Amino acid sequence: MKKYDAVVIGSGASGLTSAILFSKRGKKVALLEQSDHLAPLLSGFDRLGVHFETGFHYSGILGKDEAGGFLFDELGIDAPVRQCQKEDYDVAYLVDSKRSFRMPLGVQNWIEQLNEFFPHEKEGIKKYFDLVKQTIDATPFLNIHKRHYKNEEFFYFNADKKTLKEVLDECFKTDEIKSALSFSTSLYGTPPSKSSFFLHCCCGAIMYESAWKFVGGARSFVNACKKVLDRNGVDIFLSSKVNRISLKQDLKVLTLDNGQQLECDFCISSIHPKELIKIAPPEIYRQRNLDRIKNTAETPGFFISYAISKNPQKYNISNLAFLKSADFLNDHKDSMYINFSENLPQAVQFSMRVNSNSKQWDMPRDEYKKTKEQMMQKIKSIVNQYRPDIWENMNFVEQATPLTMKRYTNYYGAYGMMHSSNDAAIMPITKIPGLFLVGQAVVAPGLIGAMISAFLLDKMFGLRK
Amino acid sequence: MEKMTRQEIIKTVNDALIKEFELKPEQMKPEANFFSDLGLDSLDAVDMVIVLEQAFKAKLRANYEVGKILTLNDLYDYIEQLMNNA
Repeated sequence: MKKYDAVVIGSGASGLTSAILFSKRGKKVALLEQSDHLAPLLSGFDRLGVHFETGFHYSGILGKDEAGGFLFDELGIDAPVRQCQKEDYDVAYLVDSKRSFRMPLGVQNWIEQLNEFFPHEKEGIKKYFDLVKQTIDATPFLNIHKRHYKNEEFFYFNADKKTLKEVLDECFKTDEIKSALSFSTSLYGTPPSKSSFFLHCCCGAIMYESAWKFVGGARSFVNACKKVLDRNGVDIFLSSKVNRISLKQDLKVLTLDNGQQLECDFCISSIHPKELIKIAPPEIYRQRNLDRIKNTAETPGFFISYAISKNPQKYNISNLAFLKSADFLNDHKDSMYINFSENLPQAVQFSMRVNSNSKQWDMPRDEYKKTKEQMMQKIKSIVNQYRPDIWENMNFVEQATPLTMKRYTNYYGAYGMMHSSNDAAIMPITKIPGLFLVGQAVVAPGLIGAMISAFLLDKMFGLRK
Repeated sequence: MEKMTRQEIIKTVNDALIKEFELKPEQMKPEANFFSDLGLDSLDAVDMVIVLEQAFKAKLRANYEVGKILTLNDLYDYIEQLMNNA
């Protein structure tokens, strides 16, 4: 049986980060991935020679002198990023007032533009952005690059459970602006009434100051990580799904579905906590804790239709969302947006929020086909209502549903477990010494949240020494 | 938060912790240390806060002095003080 100091299960953003950090501590590390290539969700896919992004489009704070850039440096990865430009960033079409709100970059620009669009909300706009700044400034892991925090301070989470909805209701009088400012909840999967304002700041509001893309797409990040893994001698096991984790004294024994077994001192799971408890020894948690994890809600799923634009001219938009004032009150339940790639021919994605309940997707093949057709019709009717010029220029090539998501990630929701302000946080530790959790469920969803979870585990290691 | 007497606080805390962590009533002495006497660990500490928030229908996490609470008595004091300031 092969023995490692540390085995990391799952090769998404947190798995890659963890594997690099453990190898940097001089540990002999193995990284396991069930798919036949690293980080399938981040890596995207190609159809007819056109690349489609699936897991990552853009993020805040990836710049050199921001938290994300600092994390890349710490990992030693060379993943080139570029700032989104004003003309290729998000546009919200405000359906009720028939206005296009081109999302600005830079907090000051946000304030000015919102003041212009919503002159009667000036006071609230100032209050909202003051609260955002206070919260971001007071969060150690969003300021990890400033290096003045003690290691312990990273473990004091903001525990104010005030929801985003409560804060927006306090700041603003009308729903249209609340809808515009809460649309970014779609980027982390916890709707305004359930998302704490703190989570919103960590995942959505960090993009007011700056938004970044990877040059060459998110697979550049994966490739950059792969280089470091190879250099540090990390063994990568592809097509290797873990069936069972068992204990042999202090060692964790991982049995793969091909029967192979690996032994390790430290096992780091980056998979969905609900999946981990299926394969882990029962003593991983107390029963009540297990029940709590089992009962935690999933983030919503997406039905996505992928297309290639036949238009020889580029659409100078990155994301286009159709927003109704009522979307705020119904938690963006019917949210729909279109995403355009930056290169010609343009890869275009039509994403519509759908139910991520596993039972919903447990259906016979022909019914599944029919469901997809219905969803396609629904998207078509929405797009044609506002932008018929877009729909008629599309060559549709592929579709994805929460079931597709499940094939690659084992879960149906777009961002795994929901971080509802009423639910308990998932801790990086378990009852089994040496068995740890990282990933979107631990700190926050998204690339930054996933990477930070791995850094927190690494800091915890440093502290224990 | 409703006003409660110290006795009511103690009862609410003890009932909640006994149920959550399968403790015995005779273990619930005021001087009992969560870690060395009640056998809880840092993972349980997180659960404890959640269980108590449910029991008292109040936010306990907003104030991170929670980290200084080591014994049952510290916890009773903390909750009593929170309620008096509410």
